[in-house]
Amino acid sequence: MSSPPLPPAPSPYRPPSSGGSRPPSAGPRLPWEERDRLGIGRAFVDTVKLLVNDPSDGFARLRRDGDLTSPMLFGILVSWIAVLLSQLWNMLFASTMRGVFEGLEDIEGFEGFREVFAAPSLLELIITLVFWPVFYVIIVFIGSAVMHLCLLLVGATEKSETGFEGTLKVYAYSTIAWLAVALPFIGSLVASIWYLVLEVFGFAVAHRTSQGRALIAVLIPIILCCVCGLVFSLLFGAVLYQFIQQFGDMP
Amino acid sequence: MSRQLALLWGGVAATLMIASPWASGFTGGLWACAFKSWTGYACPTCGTTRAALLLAELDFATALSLYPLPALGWILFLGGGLAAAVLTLVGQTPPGIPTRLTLTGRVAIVSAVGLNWAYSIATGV
Repeated sequence: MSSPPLPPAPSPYRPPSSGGSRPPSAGPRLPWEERDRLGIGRAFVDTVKLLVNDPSDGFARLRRDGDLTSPMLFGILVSWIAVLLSQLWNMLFASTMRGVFEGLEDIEGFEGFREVFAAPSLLELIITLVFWPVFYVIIVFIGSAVMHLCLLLVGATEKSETGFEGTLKVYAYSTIAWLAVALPFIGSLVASIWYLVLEVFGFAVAHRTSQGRALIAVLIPIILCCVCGLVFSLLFGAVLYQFIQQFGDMP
Repeated sequence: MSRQLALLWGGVAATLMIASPWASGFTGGLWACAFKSWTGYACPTCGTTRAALLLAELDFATALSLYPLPALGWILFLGGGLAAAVLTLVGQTPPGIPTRLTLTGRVAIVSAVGLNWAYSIATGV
């Protein structure tokens, strides 16, 4: 006995807030991709607001052509601000952070770890900011390649019309999460989690796949690479817990 | 593959190759793998940086013998990028990056990662 045909599945392109089904390029575009008309300042701020408040809608507005200049420029700008902020925190709180992680130095494999929190000199800061766009493009390209492989592995790109360019765009626009480093001490942790959430929303929309499948793809590198990360997180948590306890015991 | 993507990939590959003499300077600040330090065994991605450093010194034989999968990955990434850019510059269209993978392809990739990990543990690198 044959079952009646199922109604068509709702389009994963549909942004939750719009209520209508539309492909990424059919409706309003991402403000950053209309910066010629809006002006760079307004386009940047509007895009940041959109990706923070409604990432699904933001990613649904991505252009479906092969333009990679817009996402790369956006990512470079956002990450520049984030690098500047994180270096600023390093300058201000380097000695505090090095004190917090003092205990970690005694553990094998973490010798020299405190140096991560070394305060950068002005020259180092300037060199970092000057060469940052090159580093950023390399990081995003390699990261997108690894992520695209993971998406392929879980079959998340089978209905995709944007292909690798879609992965690269989502990866670059998700850089907005780096702005969380504006929060001292916990900024990097918040940014990492937020980045993953944005990727899940973005890949689901850009590749017309489910958020569950996108989540599995996003978690693969973490599971693979972060067997180390898990060990690190446990140590980090233990040290942080010890620090909080010591802080609580202070008169 | 779009012209922009091919040129960007080629640019990234060329930059990495040009910067390779200074590779050890970029990786000097990295600390050891926590998993390996604790358990004594390599993690699934152990060797990626060391393979890149060996390739930067053009020591292909050691890179491939000690860290086969990461080394092969780097060679494919750099070679693919340069090939895509050259093809685009001579007016040809490079083949697109796939959006589908057969079951055999998926099993092959997962097996390769697993075998590479087992090899790393067995050789103790």
